[in-house]
Amino acid sequence: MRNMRWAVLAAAMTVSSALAVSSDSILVDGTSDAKHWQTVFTNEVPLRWNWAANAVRAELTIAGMTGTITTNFTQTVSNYVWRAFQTDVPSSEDVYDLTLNFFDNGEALVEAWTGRLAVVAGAFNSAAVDAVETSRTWPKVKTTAIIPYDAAWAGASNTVGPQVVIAKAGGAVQTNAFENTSGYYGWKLRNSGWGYGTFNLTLSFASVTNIYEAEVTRSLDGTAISVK
Amino acid sequence: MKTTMKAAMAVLAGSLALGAMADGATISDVVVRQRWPWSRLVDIDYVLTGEVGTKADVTIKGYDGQTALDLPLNAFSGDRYEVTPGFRKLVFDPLKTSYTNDPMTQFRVEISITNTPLYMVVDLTKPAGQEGQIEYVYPGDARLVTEGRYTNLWADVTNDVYKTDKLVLRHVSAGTFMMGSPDSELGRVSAWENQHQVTLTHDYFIAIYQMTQKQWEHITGTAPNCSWAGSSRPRDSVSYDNLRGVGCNWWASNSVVAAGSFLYKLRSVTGVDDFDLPTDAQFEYACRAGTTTALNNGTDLTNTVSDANLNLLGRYAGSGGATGGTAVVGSYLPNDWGIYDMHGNLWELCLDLVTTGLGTTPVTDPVGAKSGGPVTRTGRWANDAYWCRSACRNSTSTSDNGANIGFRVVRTLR
Repeated sequence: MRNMRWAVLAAAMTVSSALAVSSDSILVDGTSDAKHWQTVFTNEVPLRWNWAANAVRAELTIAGMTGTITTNFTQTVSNYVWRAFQTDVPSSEDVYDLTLNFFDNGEALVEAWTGRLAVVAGAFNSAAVDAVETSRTWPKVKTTAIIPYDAAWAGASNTVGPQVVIAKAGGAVQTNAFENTSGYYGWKLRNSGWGYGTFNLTLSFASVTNIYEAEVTRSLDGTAISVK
Repeated sequence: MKTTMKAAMAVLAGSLALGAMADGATISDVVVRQRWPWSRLVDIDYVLTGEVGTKADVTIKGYDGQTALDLPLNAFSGDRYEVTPGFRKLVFDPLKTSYTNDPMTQFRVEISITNTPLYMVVDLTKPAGQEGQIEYVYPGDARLVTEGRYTNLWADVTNDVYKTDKLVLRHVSAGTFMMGSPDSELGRVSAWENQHQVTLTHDYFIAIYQMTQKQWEHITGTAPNCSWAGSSRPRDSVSYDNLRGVGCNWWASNSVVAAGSFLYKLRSVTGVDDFDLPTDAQFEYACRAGTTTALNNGTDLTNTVSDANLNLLGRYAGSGGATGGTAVVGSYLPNDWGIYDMHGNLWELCLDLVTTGLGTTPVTDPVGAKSGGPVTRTGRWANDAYWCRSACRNSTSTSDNGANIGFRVVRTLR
């Protein structure tokens, strides 16, 4: 698979003239200036690609934490407007894996492109910033959580191999390794078998010793316990 | 982690509108996100769009909803100065603010491109981050005058308040100049003044005056004991160790200064983490202000002891220093960039440890020696004229706090 050459074209925000939009096309092919995944700045996300040679149909899959949509293209098209969320601003954050598979007339896969998009609150208006050491909300997790990672935080110029390990106290351990040196991990808790309890999170990078640790709690009543 | 979003705010609209001020460069795609759950730091991503070669400074204003926040400069790091087009990043540390009692549920920023300010004014009577604590004066400001050899000079800055309650710094653009003196210069000390090309790659602000006694008092909370007392006179009798801390020379500690040192206190009370002493090269570049002569008004000495041109520019033995000691800062004419007292009054401490022979090879951002005493520059109240030339260098020990020693501060924009 190779990175999908998505172009997320700027689209006018429909809600308020006060909202700004991305003024340039953002090419999602690994060569963009963006260090994080491509960030969505509008609810209507124009996607663009080059139709693969010999392909007779294509299948676009957009998989987020709360659902997956699949769209089939049976004739040569090179763009598609994806409505990422219905409201003017997103009601929750999410990250999306995009896959575009091209098939020939024998249903053989001829091209497979991927991309990643992030919908984060701070790209639209504002974000919560909690600098309160005794905060009750800081260590909480609910049904989904977006966990950022960035090799640059580790203070090394050539940091590779970031991974987030999630260990439930007395329960499952999940290791999530990333190809990108920065981006987001979408942690889906609801209906994923995690249940409730305390979770120890560790962010590490293969080439440096710096690690980040956190302890968060998911509880029925949302009561925070501690964070380190 | 808050995931419910509130009403749309005009986060980027302000950035775009303000950004258009600077040669068509714009800022867009601002993303704010705290590093939950790893740390309280906040990443602020943005895109600067502009023509190739564009360099812009940006300013950041923070809000919680519609409420403007008082955020000290040292709460931000990253791509603030001389920013080139592309994807850029700032890091905001909310723990360096006073907003640690309640979460900010709707934190947002306005990033704007600024025209390069000519002056930075720090009100030493106000705490870091307070409205009006730091002011920038831009080209076109009604207070600036253009007259004779001066362009955009802030003439009223000689009012006493700017020598006592406020700290005024002049912006100096990065550039290349010839450091040292030509063989033909009258009064030259050849072993110390090899003429060579120096390139400084970073803009900086440099105080237009030597640090005064009242400014020192505002910053440290203690009136200094000086040989030549006066609130607007320069702070004399101060050592490199007093300013940076024992053992905290540039090679040993880089920009880190010791807790309790003057620069530590200055950084704390102003919220500006990058105040320091000027480097040897920064001092001379600012002193010369584009001139290549012995004095920064474009003249050379006609006499090594007493010189009519130097009489206009600074305090030395021939202009009253022999009997009167130091002068109130700003008593003489500034150079073309509006910087005062770069000739005489007090030997000024530099950040570098001294290298006597500078060589003739072009250098970039020179850093001095790894050991020894600091460089001092351009003479004092009791010196003959030749000690006060733009190229004149000297040195002392890090502990020397004699009546000959003073300093001014710089803020290098990185």
